[in-house]
Amino acid sequence: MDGEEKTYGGCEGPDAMYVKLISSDGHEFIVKREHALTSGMIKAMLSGPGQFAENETSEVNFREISSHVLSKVCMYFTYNVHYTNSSIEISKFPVTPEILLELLVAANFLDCKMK
Amino acid sequence: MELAAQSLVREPCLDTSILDELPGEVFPLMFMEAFSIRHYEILQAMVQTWPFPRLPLGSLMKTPHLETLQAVLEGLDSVVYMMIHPRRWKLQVLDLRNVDEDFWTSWSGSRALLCSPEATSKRQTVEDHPGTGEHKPLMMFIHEPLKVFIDVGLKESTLDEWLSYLCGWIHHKRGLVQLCCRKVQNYPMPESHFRKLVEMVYPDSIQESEVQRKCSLNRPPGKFAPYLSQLSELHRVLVAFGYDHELSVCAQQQFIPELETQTSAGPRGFFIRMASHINEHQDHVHRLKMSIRTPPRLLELVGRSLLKDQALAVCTLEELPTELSPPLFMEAFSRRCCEALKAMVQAWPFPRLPLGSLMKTPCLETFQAVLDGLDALLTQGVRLRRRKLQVLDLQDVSENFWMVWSEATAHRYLPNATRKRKPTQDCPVMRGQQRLTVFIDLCLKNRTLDECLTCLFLWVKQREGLLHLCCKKLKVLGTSLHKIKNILNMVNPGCIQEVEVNCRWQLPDLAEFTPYLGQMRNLHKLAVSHIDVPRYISPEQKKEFLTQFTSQFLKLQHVQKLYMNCVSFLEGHLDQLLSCLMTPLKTLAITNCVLSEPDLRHLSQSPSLSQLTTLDLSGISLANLSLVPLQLLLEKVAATLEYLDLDDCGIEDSQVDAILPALSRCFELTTFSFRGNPISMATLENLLSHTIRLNNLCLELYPAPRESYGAYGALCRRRFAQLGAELMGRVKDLRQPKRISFCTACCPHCDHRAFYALEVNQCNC
Repeated sequence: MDGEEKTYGGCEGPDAMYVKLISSDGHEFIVKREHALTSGMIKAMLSGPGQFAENETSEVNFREISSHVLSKVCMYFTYNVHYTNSSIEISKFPVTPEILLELLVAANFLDCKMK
Repeated sequence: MELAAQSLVREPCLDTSILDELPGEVFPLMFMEAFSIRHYEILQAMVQTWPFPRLPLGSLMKTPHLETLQAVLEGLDSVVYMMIHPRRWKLQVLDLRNVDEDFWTSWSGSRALLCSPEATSKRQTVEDHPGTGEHKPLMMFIHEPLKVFIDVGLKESTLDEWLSYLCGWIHHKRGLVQLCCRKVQNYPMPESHFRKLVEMVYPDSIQESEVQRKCSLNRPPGKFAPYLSQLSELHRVLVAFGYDHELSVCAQQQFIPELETQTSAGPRGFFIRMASHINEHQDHVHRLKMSIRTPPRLLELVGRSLLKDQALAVCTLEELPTELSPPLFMEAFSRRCCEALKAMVQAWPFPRLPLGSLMKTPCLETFQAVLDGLDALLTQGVRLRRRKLQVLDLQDVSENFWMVWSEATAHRYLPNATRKRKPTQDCPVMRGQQRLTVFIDLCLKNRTLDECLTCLFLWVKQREGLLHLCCKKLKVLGTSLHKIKNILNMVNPGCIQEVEVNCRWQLPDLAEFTPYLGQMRNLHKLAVSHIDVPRYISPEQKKEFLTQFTSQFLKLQHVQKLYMNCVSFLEGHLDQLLSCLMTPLKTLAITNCVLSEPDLRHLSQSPSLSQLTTLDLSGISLANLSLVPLQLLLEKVAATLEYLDLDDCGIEDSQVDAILPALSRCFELTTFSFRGNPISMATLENLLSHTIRLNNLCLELYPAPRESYGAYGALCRRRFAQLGAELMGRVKDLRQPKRISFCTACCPHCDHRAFYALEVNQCNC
């Protein structure tokens, strides 16, 4: 059908609007670059001076983080960006007990904080 | 039904066991009945068999009534201690807030209206404590504590008897009862009471805090700020000041900056209400508002969730990676998750646990939990895969540890931490013999020890032989000797390296202390201050005491620093002390004492004083003495002396010449202080021309020349400024001074000196 074709930014190249985070079991999570930069580790990987291969393709492979944890991490990105510098009252971020330990390890690894 | 309930309750010899048989629906009615006629035994029994999880007592007790509260609490006592197990024990929450009147009305209709006339049928949904009910603990070996909800409004300067009774009751049941407080309002309550109260309240429950101060304070609510960091659920903080000079004091000093650092995950709304002049503080407020808008880190969120369910936390500890132990420990410590703490101590993956740097605001509950965890390691020989802990470090060092492992978390709990590397030494004595070493610095200030210290000593005493209490620094600043003897007996004196005594002892006390002193074989530094010689002591007795004291030094092979301040027994006997020194001293400071000329001579002749790096003779009146001995001493130590302090010695023009030659040869000198000596301009210039050759001088402090003072010794500011400028010019001609100032005598009002440095700085009087 004709009409306006809505194009979204891709994951290609260093200035892509979106980045792809790949979990250990092969799931691909495509999130906004700005959101992913919540993580200090991802930020370093994506914007470091050419040392990481991830610079080229805006893709990051996490061989130790499984999909059910990585999905939660992506949710945290959204949560963080949503509430930073806004006057909305910050709501709770629910964490189910089953993934607590893995999420703890992943959070430590990713160094998820706002700069 | 009402009538039946009434008559049942009014029955004089009601057998409380029938309460077990009663249907639950009757309970509220009967309770209200018993409440209105003040039948305490029945109330007590009913509390124990209360068939609902919640008892909203607050809505019944509009005017707090002490005996009723006591009865209810007594009823709770037996159950909290698990002494009886009524078939129907369901009560989990005692609600003392003024909510949930609906409960009473819905169960018993009209009756309730008579008890509490303001009851409305407005349904006020009571918010549960955020921590309850989220998920069942996986294993029920942790006893869920009873929760008491209360809104705290502190209006008087002391707690009313109702509240203080409640607090006393809860205090006794630490760990078994959680005091949850959604709102805390503090009006003119003094800091100490408020602090005690806040310590008792479960920190996660406080959602609103209001601090209002009507009186002007020397110490602003900045003292309250450390607690804010523990209040993770804090929603609203309202700070109101009666006088705006308070806010300026706060803003300049501590409060707002502290709040800034503390509330990184903190309040969603922050309101400052003040009388006027908000403009000057706009930027502070703005900065604060900016800093409190950030959502918490994921690591914190997950850590908090993990710790909320303590049973789960304990299970997962086995698999926790090493690098997560420190941040999780910090969270657990600040949130007082005692069960989790206990388990974490046992599973601690490092040989050292630097707890001292976390315990800036001591909390007995958490400290006790740590000790319990250590117990498990010591006595039960717990064989965990990761049992590594060997040292519990209670000294105030090693913030570096927490910083290294988790900088962001450390910043929340240790706001002044830096990455300064301060190497911690092992204990030279008893290495490897005991299973656990506890390092602690003892500063005994008050007449009684604080709670944590008492708890620690008791704990150590009961485990004698199993662990080694190592105290490197001992400061006795306020207690009497008799009180600290127990402590001295418990600590191994061989470990002590620094001792400071400054609490107005008398010479006999010091003599009694000396046996302990003699056992401190590794003593490096001894500082003794303010020892009086009482008049009733005869000269022979005095000599004996003195001999007792000085002879101890014969046993001390490692003393390097000796500080004696305001000790009157040295006069005429300095040689006795000096002759007992076994090793060459690095630092000698004899200040504010009276010394005679023979004493000075002995100073210059003593072989232990040939390698001094620091010599401090400030406050010793040298006015009418020959300074030749001082000259000799300076010559001896010229090669090593780095710090020389001759403040307030009353040295006059004629005496200065004696020491100048030796002084000009002290090439290692970095600091030279000569204030408070009445010398003339000419002498001062002469002095300056001699110190010119000392290239390492970083700090020089000279007196204002005598000519700056008018008749009767009053300072003439204009002349001082003039002379100061002249001198400064002269100095700059000769060399580039690093830091030099010319200081007047101390102002009698504010005890500050006016000084002429690179710019004039006057005292404010």
